[in-house]
Amino acid sequence: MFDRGRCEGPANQTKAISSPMSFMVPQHMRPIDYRPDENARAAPAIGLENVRKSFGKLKAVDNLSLHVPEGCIYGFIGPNGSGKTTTLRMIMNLIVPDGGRLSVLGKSEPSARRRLIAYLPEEKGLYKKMTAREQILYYGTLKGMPRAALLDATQTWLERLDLVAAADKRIEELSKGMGQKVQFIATVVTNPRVLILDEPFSGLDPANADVLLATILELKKQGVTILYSTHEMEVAERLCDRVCMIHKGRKVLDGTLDEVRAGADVIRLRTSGGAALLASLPDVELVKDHGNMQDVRFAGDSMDLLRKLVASTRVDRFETLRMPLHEIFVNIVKSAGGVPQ
Amino acid sequence: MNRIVTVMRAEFRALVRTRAFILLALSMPLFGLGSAWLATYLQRSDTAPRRFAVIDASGNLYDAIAQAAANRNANSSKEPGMAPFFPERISASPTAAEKLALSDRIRSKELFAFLEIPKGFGVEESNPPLRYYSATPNDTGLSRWLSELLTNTLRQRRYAALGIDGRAVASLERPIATERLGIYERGANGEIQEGAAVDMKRTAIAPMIGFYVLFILVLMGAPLLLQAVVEEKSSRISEVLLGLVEPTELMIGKLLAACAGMLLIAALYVAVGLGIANRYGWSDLVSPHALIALPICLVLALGQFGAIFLAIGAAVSSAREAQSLLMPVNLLFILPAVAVASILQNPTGPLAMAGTFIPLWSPLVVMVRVSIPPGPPAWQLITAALLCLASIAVCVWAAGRIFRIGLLLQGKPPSLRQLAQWVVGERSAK
Repeated sequence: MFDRGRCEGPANQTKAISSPMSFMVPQHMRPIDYRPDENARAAPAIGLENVRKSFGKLKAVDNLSLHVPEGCIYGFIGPNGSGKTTTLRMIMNLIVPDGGRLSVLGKSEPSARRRLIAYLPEEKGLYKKMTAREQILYYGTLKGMPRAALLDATQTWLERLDLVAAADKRIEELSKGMGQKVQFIATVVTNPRVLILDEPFSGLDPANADVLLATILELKKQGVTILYSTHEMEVAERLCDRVCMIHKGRKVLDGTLDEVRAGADVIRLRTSGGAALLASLPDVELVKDHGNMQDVRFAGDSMDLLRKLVASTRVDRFETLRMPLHEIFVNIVKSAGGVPQ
Repeated sequence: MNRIVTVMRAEFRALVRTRAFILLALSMPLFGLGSAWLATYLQRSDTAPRRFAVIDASGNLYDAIAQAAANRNANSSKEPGMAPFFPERISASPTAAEKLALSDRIRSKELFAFLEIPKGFGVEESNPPLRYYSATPNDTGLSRWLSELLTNTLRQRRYAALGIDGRAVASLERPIATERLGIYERGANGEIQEGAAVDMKRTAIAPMIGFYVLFILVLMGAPLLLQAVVEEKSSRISEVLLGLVEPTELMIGKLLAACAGMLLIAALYVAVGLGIANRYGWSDLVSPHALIALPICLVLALGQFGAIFLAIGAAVSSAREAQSLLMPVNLLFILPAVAVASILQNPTGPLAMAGTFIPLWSPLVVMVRVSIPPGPPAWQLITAALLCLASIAVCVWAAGRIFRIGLLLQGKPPSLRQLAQWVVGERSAK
């Protein structure tokens, strides 16, 4: 059984269903209660346990276990072909896993999982001949939202994302960015409790990307759990509370950003002792000598290293360099044998 | 169920807005109305007076022609569609220049034709032929009338010359008549009813019309489904939809929308057909059984072929890729069209019986059989309908499995063997 989990932080103190600060969907417009039952409250928003999927001889997902806590933005990262989309499709029951167990808010039945999650796939799919409003209403109706509430929520979202003028235009008349915003509204209009976003920013211009980013953060504040799949590390670093990286179908990294970076940070030093002194210290794993400066990877608390250095030499510079997620990602992929074919 | 209805509504709205649907809906009624108008127009133009010149070198046949034409013209006012004939006697031995002048009169529409009866026609052993000059060689009405008239006139003269009573000979040569009737049957009140007279229009033409209307609707309707799925797949809508509804719900919604769309077109065809039939006095040819059977057979046929086409659409990435997979399905569908003549000839024969109980063919075969009085017995219709419903269930189930896997796949289209694997075991397939 999965452990109960919630993301840390003040942003997660509110829930979408009860929040009076909800800017998109007022209380009276929320007939669908996505809140889990009592048993589900002890479960993660999304849970995978030893999930497997092969296509012929290719192991697309290999004994993958995930635990996405409620109310956080969970980065699901990995190189192309690593098994991200297959995993997401299994969560949505678009693909049947070969083995393992999946659950969403404690529900493992495929139909319940589909009902509880809203899914924005990487490849956006809209009917060219439908208007933006028709498209949103169609997808919302399929999700089971009553008509009156859906009409109100659609209007609210169109206003929020500045699409009112385009609401009654056909999709084929809209720009790509506007189309993506329509697709986003169609995904979130039913006020889902769990949201899967697969590369939601791909192809968006910076202005629209910022609007979408702010909206996603707002959803998180309302308590929506977001599984954000991407290979854009910079955005993942800005958005995510936790990240999980998979490579060749296996999990290679999982934790908060601080946990992921632990041990990957580099300390940049300038001391009288130089590289030789640094190399002689215990717990120093790596010294990269730049002449006047050295980069050191230290296994313990960096403050311990500072204390040891001050006791034995003059310290002119001591700076902790945070390793970008991108570099962690690239290093892991390289050490694991490169990008899968 | 609500999701199926939602999908059906959206798909129906999308379907009726497609160019293919609008063309299909309008083409047949326009063709029917156009044909009816053309027939009327041709009939009207055919009644224009035919003036023709007669060069009677025999010297004794023009009067017979003039008399027969006068008699015919007297009747032409009573019979619509009959053109009056007006002969004009010309010099018995015209020169080439005079014949050219006659030809010019034909060119200027003053004359329709001119006839040259050679000297010794019908008398000499050499039997020289009539010479009929016309600028409209395919309009044979006048030439045929003249030929028959002169043949009969000469025949009567020959009988008279031999002292034979021509009317007695005609009586002796009169062919016997055969009245074709249906078989006796017992009526609803137990009374014995004589078989009705066989009307070829009722027993052959009306069933053929019913068959081809159904054939065209299924032939056009099922590919529309395939096209819609291929478009959804290529524009990545499928993945979004599958995140919202079960594949089977999506497929059933699409099938129902296609059935509703084709029923709408069928209603339009029937309305226009009944209008034309009423206008031309063919209303009695319309079989009430066929009118009831058409929507039922349409749904049963489209339910099966539509599901197969949907599955193929889901398995491929473009309409072109679908061609190889569609070939065996199209062959299956076309077979009843090849056999329809035999079924018309013997609606209770082994071919008709087999076709009735083979679900994929059943709707088309039954459509023909119900249009031919007295039609198949009720037990055959019920059994055929039940078999079709079972077949639809199997088609939808199998197609649903292909649909689910195929919709998310891109790239090389699967082979028939792979499709079978998808149906049998989903987990082993991609």
